[in-house]
Amino acid sequence: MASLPPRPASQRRPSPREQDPSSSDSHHAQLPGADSEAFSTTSEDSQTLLLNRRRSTQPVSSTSPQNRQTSTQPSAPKVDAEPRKCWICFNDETEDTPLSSEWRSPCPCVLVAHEKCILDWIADMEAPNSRRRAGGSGKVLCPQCRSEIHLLRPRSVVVDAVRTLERLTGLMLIPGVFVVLGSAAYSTATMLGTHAIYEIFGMDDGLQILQPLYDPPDATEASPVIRLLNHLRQHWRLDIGLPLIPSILIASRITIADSFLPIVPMIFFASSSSPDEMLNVGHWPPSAALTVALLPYIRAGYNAYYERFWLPREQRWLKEIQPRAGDTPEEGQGDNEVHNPQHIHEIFEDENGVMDIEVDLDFEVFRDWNDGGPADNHNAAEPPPVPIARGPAPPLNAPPLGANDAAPAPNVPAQPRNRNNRRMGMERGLNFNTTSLADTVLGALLFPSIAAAVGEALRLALPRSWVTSPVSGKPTGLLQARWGRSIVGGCLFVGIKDAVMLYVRWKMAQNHRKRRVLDYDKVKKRVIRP
Amino acid sequence: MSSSSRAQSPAKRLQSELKTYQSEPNDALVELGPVGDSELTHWTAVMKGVPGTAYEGGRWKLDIRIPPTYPNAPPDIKFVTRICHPNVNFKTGEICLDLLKTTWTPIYTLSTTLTAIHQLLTSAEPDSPLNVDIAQLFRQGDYVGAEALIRFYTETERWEGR
Repeated sequence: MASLPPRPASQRRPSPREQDPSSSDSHHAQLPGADSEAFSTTSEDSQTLLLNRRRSTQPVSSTSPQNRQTSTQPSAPKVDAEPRKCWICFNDETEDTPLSSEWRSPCPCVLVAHEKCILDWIADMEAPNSRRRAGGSGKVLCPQCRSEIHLLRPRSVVVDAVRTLERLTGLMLIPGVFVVLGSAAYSTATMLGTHAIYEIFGMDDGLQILQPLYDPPDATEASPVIRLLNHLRQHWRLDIGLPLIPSILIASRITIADSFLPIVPMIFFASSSSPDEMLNVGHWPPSAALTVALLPYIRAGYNAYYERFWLPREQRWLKEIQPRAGDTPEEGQGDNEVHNPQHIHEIFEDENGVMDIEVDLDFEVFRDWNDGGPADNHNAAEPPPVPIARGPAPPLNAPPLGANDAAPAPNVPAQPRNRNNRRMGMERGLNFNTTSLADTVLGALLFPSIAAAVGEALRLALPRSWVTSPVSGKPTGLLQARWGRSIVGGCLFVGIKDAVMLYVRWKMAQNHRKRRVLDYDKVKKRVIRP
Repeated sequence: MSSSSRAQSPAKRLQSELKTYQSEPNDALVELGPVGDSELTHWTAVMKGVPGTAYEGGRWKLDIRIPPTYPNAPPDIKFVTRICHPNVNFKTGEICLDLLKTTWTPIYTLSTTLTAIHQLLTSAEPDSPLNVDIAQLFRQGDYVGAEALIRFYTETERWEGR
């Protein structure tokens, strides 16, 4: 490196040294006369092309067998112009040898190059493995003026077709991945939905609802496409509704869904094929479809109730067991625990922002130790069945009759609903951490099973006459069908769970106030218990 | 035909570039040329800092490897002197510049490529970082901190060779 700057280029290459200086530096100026020398020196070593060729270029290229003759050769002789310089190999035309290819000027700008150099460059760009291939539009652009460089190349239908196909496959790659992932998600959701139906409705009713899925394909229709279309036309409610079950179960655990969940039943009412049968609102028990359709409203009602009535208390209780050091004026009094409800209230108001965060965090903790998955399920309870209801609603056994059982049912659902809401509110801030996300999703997906289990427990626990359909005639109570017990069970679960959680929180707050540090009696060598 | 054109090694073009550089030096560079007389495909360069920026007064040595397919393929250029820059790997000296990868065309020369790298000093892209630490400072808008860090390395790592 030390030798660089001052030296002429030629010194770098010992062997051709003699010839180089004269050739590369001075040849433009020197004119003919050296042609014979040029020819003699070129063939062995491509580096040593010397001598100017300006005058001889035309004759050489036209006579030399290696060079292809083309009409496009820019032959305007260089009377006073500078020698053309290839922008790729950087040789100018004075350095051309008989082996050099012709000059091309493929674009509007001043760039000119040897044909071989251009072809080489293009080949390199188009090489299948070239990393530049990625965005390759197949066009070759002049790097300076960005205009396209046109090539005349022999076309082969097969090569073109394969190339086009390759490009198309490349384009389809991303969409293809999405399609595959989408169908996987769809299948999974459908499976979960099917499972939920069986859980909630039991084998018999479930089979009835899902019957179309098990119908053998219509053998009279030969074309699979037509068969598929027929299937879609007849059973689109199932095709859409089943995968919607888990989706809505999950959505119902998140506050985002609050705005649209109540609309879902509207769609159901609007699209139901036989409204009369379904909307026998006056009868008891209601049809399964109607019941399920009402769940979002029950959920909303419960949530609103919980938020309004229980949430403030719960927050206060939670606040009470927070270590207060440093964040309250009471600190100075040396008593970190604030027993006085009024104080608590003040603090609460003062630090609303802070508090919310704390509460959220606590929630997580509680949830974890409490019961993990199931605890969070309340939110999901009602909404899930909605989609189910849309399709299968009519076939369900939900003959409206007597109104004797009316009382218990409404109460129960109402409570569970609220549960969910408040949970939801709390979860809002946390929804984006992974744990709570998994929690939410798993809880939602487990909920049908839990509801069914509680429903089953109800069947065992309640008097036989409540839970068994009359031998003849239509059921007279909500709990007489399995779906009714499942739904009531789900609501109950949510309600009870929330009640227990509230109790725990309240109790913890109570106990918190009564904590004392025990003194140690050094004489007796044990702790002094009051 | 392709075989005959392949046979043309980059040597001639490199010589031509060297000559051009010697007649028209690059303001951004202190020196540029082959490492030794025998090896024309291994060059080295020393780059100047950019006055008025945190890179002011710096000197960085760069290592340039020229592939046999040059100029159709880009040269492989790395910083030998460590430099604190979002798009340069602090340890390996690898440079993240599209010109050195996807958008290369034979119209660039080693000298213009180094000019582009020189311009990269003042137009960093913190969004495709090879040096996460400094890029993070940029992204957080801590320009004072970033500049201090760059100045520190510009001075302490300055290439004093020769």
